[in-house]
Amino acid sequence: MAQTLSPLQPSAAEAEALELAEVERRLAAATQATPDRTRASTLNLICCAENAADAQALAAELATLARRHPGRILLVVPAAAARGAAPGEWRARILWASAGEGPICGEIVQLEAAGMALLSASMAVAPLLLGQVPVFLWWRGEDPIDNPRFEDLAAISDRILLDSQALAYEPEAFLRLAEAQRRLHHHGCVSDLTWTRLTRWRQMIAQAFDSSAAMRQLGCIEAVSFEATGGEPAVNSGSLLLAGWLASRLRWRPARRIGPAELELTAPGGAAVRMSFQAGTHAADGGYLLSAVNLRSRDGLLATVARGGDKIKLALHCGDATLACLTTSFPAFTLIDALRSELDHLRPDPVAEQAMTASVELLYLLGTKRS
Amino acid sequence: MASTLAPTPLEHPLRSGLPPERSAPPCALVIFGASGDLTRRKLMPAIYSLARAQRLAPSFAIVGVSNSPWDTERFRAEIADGIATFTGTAVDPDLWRDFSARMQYLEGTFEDPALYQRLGQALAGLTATSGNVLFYLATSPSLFPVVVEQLGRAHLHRAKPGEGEAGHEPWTRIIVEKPFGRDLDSARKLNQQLHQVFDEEQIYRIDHYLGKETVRNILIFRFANGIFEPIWNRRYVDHVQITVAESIGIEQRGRYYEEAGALRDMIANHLMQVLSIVAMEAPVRFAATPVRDEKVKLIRSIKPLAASNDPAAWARYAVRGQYGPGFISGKPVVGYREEPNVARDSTRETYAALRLEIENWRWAGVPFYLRSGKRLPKRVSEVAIRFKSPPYLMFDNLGAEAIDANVLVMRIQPDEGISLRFEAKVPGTDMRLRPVNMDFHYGSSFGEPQPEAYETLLLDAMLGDGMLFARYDMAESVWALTTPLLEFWEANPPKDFPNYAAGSWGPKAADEFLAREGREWRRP
Repeated sequence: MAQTLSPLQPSAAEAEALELAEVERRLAAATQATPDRTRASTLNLICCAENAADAQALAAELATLARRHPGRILLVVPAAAARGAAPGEWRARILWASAGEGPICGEIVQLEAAGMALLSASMAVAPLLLGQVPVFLWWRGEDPIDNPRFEDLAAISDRILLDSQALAYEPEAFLRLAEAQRRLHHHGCVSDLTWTRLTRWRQMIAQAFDSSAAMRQLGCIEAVSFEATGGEPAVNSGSLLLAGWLASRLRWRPARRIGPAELELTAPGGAAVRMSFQAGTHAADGGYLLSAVNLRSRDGLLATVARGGDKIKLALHCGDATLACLTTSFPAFTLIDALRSELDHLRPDPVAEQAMTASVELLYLLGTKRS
Repeated sequence: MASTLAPTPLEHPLRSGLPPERSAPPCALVIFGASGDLTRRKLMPAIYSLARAQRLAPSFAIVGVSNSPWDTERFRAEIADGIATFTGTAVDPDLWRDFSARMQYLEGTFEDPALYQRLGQALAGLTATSGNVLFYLATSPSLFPVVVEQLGRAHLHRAKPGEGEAGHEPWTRIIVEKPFGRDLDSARKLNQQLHQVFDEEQIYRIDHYLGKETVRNILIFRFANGIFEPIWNRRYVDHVQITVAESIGIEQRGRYYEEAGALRDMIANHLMQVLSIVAMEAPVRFAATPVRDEKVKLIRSIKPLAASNDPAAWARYAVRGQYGPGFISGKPVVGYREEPNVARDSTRETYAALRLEIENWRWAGVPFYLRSGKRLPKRVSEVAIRFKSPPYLMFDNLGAEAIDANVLVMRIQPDEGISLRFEAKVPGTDMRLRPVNMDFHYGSSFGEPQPEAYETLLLDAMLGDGMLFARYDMAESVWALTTPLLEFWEANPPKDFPNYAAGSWGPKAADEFLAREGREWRRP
């Protein structure tokens, strides 16, 4: 999934610091001067760096988005006040992100300011947003709740991308995400990049039940278990969100807590479904928090989806008989891969929202304070 | 024909909102002609690509049937080699292990009933395919009726009731490769033979051209944008040109081409399909039946070609040509008559151009020019819609009498995209005009590679979506239109063949064909 880093021209250190009013004119002039380069504009992406070093690393990673999502990236960077600049004044640097192959490129506009100006970054960002294409805000790291910087930028965004995995390796992150969703629903939809990391897991689990005979077994699942990578905690955002997805799709309702990482849910017909989270032994590599998911039906159908190295394997058994087996590649999924995938979606995903809601319910049942 | 409408399938609760949205249900694919070139070059690489993209069920199974003395191991080895060669990527060993484990090969002659008994046993042994079977006729067309009849006799043309669950009745479908006959009579006969065994809803007549991303995009371009449909008619359009040019010759297909020719091979298939999509009325829904209804209606609206024996009358509708020696990409190439398996005095056309008129309110009076040829200067397929010139040229005092009309070009291959030519002022204090192009390139707007046409169409067939497949009435309508011309050309062999040099844009008569009406062919 990882791509060769596309060249950034020039580096942030080499780029001239401009007044914001100069940015559009410079971009237009640069486009005219390089007719062999095609400036493509499919979206706006806003994100914030912690400092100049972080911005440099981030810009290099974000440049790789140009291949699939060429557009304008507005990178907000805290900086020392520029010499000669008035207090609160912004400066911009223009970097070109090439798609690597072909003439397509997008631009990264690095916006720098010091002090209180950063609390109202939207004042600098909004005039530079490309018209008629969506505005994404990728919020990194910091807790978004009651965070004025976050709320300032969220207010000018159509979609807000958070990462429960980055907020903390704690399932409580979901509560913060759910709160962010509640507060921001009138601005734009909030999505969790962890959901994107689970896409392949969801595909494989769904595939296990594609045949009509197997699909019938979905109504009589009696046990489901999630094995986490990296040992404790057994309950992590990846396994919890996947559990929430299964619960919401199969209409299982939380019933009771059986153990520290074990729940009982109730299926639509009233049958009990045992859900357990187990600490695994695999290292948490490749950006994934899961190593295996097992679903067992009362009729003896066992579906296992397990990751091993850069492969993911689906096996469907009934008693001793193997009904289906499929192994496909499953390369590491970096944060930028997740971002790249999530930028495909311009609208809220109701399935994700329902999964998130169900995950929060499961989390409450488990008890929110977990080690 | 008995109706076999499939019941509404149960909704898969875990599939909702999950990409890819379109995944094939469990099924078995039975390929007749499994040792042939089409299977190796196109079908299996497409199937493998679908598997790699996780668009096939884990239990998806393949049964190859052919008369080559192979066993399953040889079949797997040949297919693996074909996949590596024609997908341009190495086979993933893990994926291939699971994929090839579900492949088997049956050797036999297509006329032998015992072969179909063995096939039935093989299909019965597939327990996780929900009883769904897709047959693919990748054999010589002469064997289509044989295979179909034998499938019927072996009762393999109907899914076994009860194999699927309630609401999930199993299905059986059959894909038929073009050509769908070689004239109206043979097309009708083939359809009758198919319908004696299969219902029309089970039959998928494949024209891979319709699986091309840009051909499908014509539907989106026309009907998902509000600004084009109001001008898509006789009030604004002067004429339409549809070009499918090939720089290659007939390669090793001399025997086939001597029987077919450009009119049968290209115009009666690909170009008429493209024409129908470009010119049809808006269907009431984006679904197979409404779309196919409109396509057939359009073809039936085309004014019949002249039915007299007067060559001058025919010359107003059609031009034919045959390439002689020439140069392609700077290299000398032989003429058609010097190609392998071609008669030295062959009168088979390698170039054909038609002028069609559509007799309906939208298009009355707008000529549609279709052309296709081999050994033309370059490989290009496009639809060019030339709009009428402005009603009053107020720029004539600026020396702009010859303002170029607006042209909308939909490029099917290569460099897929859409461009619009319009007049612009040349920067400067003088008032000078010059045509410029506003271009959309698939490659630069979407970084993702496009799927191969066969991938799209095979997946459609597995999903029961027949929109991009030809219905029997479409095939017959096209032949009803073109057969009189074929018969006239057969009865009146050309005296001037070869009449264009390889590497040129076709015979001079083709240029004169448009020049008579004050028009000229585009140079793509």
